[in-house]
Amino acid sequence: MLFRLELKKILLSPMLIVFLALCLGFNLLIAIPGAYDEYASFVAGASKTAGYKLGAQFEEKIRKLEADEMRDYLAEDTAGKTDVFDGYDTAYIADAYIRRLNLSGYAAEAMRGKYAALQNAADDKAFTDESLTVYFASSTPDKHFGLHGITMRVLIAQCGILAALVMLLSLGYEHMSRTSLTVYAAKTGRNILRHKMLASISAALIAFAVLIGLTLLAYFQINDYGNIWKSSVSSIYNVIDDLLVGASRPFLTWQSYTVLTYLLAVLCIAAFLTVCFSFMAFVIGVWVKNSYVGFLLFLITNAGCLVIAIMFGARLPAYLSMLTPAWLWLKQPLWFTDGGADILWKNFEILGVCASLILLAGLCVFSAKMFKKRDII
Amino acid sequence: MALIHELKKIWNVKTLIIIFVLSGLYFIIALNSSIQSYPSGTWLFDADIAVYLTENYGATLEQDEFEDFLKLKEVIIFELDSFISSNAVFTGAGIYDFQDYENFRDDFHSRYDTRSEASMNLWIAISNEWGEILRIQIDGEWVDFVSDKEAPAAYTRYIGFNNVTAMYEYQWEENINSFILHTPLGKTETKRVLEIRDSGEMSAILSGHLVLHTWQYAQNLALLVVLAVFILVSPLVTIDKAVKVNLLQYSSMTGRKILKKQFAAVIISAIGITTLLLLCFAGIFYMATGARDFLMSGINSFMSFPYHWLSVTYGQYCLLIAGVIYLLSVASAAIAFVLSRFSQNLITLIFKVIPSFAAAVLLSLWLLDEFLGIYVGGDVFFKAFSLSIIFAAAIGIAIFAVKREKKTDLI
Repeated sequence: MLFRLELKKILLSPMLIVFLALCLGFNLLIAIPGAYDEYASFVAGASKTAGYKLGAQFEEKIRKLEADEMRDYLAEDTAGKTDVFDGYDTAYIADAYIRRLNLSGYAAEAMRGKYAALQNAADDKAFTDESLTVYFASSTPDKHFGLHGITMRVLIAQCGILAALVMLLSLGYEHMSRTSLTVYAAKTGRNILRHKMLASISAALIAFAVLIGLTLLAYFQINDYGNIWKSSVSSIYNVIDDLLVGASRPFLTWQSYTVLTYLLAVLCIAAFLTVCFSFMAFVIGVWVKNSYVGFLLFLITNAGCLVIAIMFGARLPAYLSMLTPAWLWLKQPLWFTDGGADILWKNFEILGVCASLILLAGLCVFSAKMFKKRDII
Repeated sequence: MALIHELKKIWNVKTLIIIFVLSGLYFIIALNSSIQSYPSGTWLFDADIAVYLTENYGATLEQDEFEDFLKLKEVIIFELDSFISSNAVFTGAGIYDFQDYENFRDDFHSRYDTRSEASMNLWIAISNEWGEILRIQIDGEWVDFVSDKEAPAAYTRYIGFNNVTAMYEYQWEENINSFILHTPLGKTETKRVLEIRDSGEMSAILSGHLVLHTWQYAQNLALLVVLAVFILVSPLVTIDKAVKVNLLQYSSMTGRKILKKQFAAVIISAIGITTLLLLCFAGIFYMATGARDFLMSGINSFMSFPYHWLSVTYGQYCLLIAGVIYLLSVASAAIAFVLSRFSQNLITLIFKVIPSFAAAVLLSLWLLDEFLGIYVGGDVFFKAFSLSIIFAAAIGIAIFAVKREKKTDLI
């Protein structure tokens, strides 16, 4: 009952609705239009008839398409491709990182271990010819980064901020409406925190679904994906520019993901990350009565996590800070891959989200317990 | 008296600590990278050469001064000779001075198809001594060799010297002509570029990297200023409303003037915090990059690209940037004041402040992007017009809110 009332209070708040509308407007105006690419659109259209797997059949079907400049370019772009993972050795990446960052001891060992494990993933992909899928052909890096580096990153930031605001709104409600002294005077009244937390997380996830759902709906209305959904994200065209290695290298994921399953996996981690931000705001909101200051502390906490990595360079505290929600958000374009030179461990996004959830949930329980014993005035 | 009281409310210790901490974190995350990436300490880029030229010849490099600068080549060649004669890789290959090296290099390049493996390996070893990244074709494949050594100072001086002399002698004119020819400029832009080319102002000494780093740093600094202004001034009116002290104030005729005082306090505070942040962070930038040496240099220089709409000195360029930041800061303060007036509590306020801050950020980035530079789509007059309109609108709305306050029902 209390949960329902709290949830209703949040969801019917005009501020939340206006904020969601503004975020949506921002996404439609700024985060999406730049993502349109005529050649990519042509590739998506061609994939409906030619399929997504590269090879002789694909080339034959492309040749049968209506002759024009785009068709010729696609034919040239996709002709005679070989599997990038055939004989691909990941050890050179570890060597480059260790040499350039002067890694030693545990860091060097973990880095080597990570890329030794990645070798298995590369071998599996070589076995199934996973890289021989078209994705968006030579437009792939821009299109992939457009969705996963820009649009998704903006969306996750908005959801994180929304989650924090909703939590602070809910926790600060009793102070704002001057009912705190009445509500918190009773022992049972202080249990309301649990309902507030659950209601806020639910509201944040509902806002997450609405915001991401509507934005991606608009995104995929503008950007046709045709048969590309079934293409692998580890396509030969999908490359990461790596300055430390000195060249671009394949977008090599630990597991096999199609474009669709990769997007779903990203959304799943993004939802858990939103919950992490909710937990963080809960801990702050319980201790700090002033919601305005609370939100600023939320910003400072996340900025502090970013600073740790910058201050410590290639040392353990920096690598640990990469598992915090703020860094996980920044590293979003590399989720489900090795994560680059800042990451020491396999599946860093899952590890980071799990570690953050456990730590923050522990802090939430501790804060809630302390709140029960604390003086309110 | 009321104004001072309002100022005291704005400049409270808690808020100042938060701004101080956020500024420190922001400096480490965003601002410091502009300073760290500034290419000083080597002549491979033009930053340190510009310092050398300014120290020796002042703000411009005239023809007779350039002739004098050319004498430096002898010194650099002497340094290179010393480096080569004491390096085993060179002497082992029979190269004892820079002239020998040049002969070897020309010979290597002239034998494109008949290079022996030994000469290839020697070329790789020599490139390694120079600290270079070498890309050569071996058996039809392009291979990169990244040197594991620092480029010797004499060699970087040699490269930098050659680049700058070429820039002064002919490249600046070639570049500007090519810019006019190959860039789809409008009539006004073309006229301005021609004016720059023919005015003689291109003899100014100013590193292109300094201009680039200045506006990029200013973009980041503007974000911090806007953030600090929003944090500092926005809660003022909302807190009064939340504790309903405004009802008490407004019960008297004179009490209703308090909003006017609060608006004045907000604007003064915005100017104050902007001044503090500019002094602190612009000061760090000037000290770290040596920008203070170029305050009198013209911003259209033979060393730099792009060209600029105004023929001003670097010092005036920085003042103009500061002016834009002040206008953005005051406009943000006026918007924050209006938002504060129409928010019932602090959380409502944050919900309103965040989108406003996002809009202010986008505006700041756009306004200061390639500041005053001539480029396609970079219409400086349109930017100035937009800033004026936004500034006037923000102040106008705030004044309207203050005037309306006297007549409105409060409950």
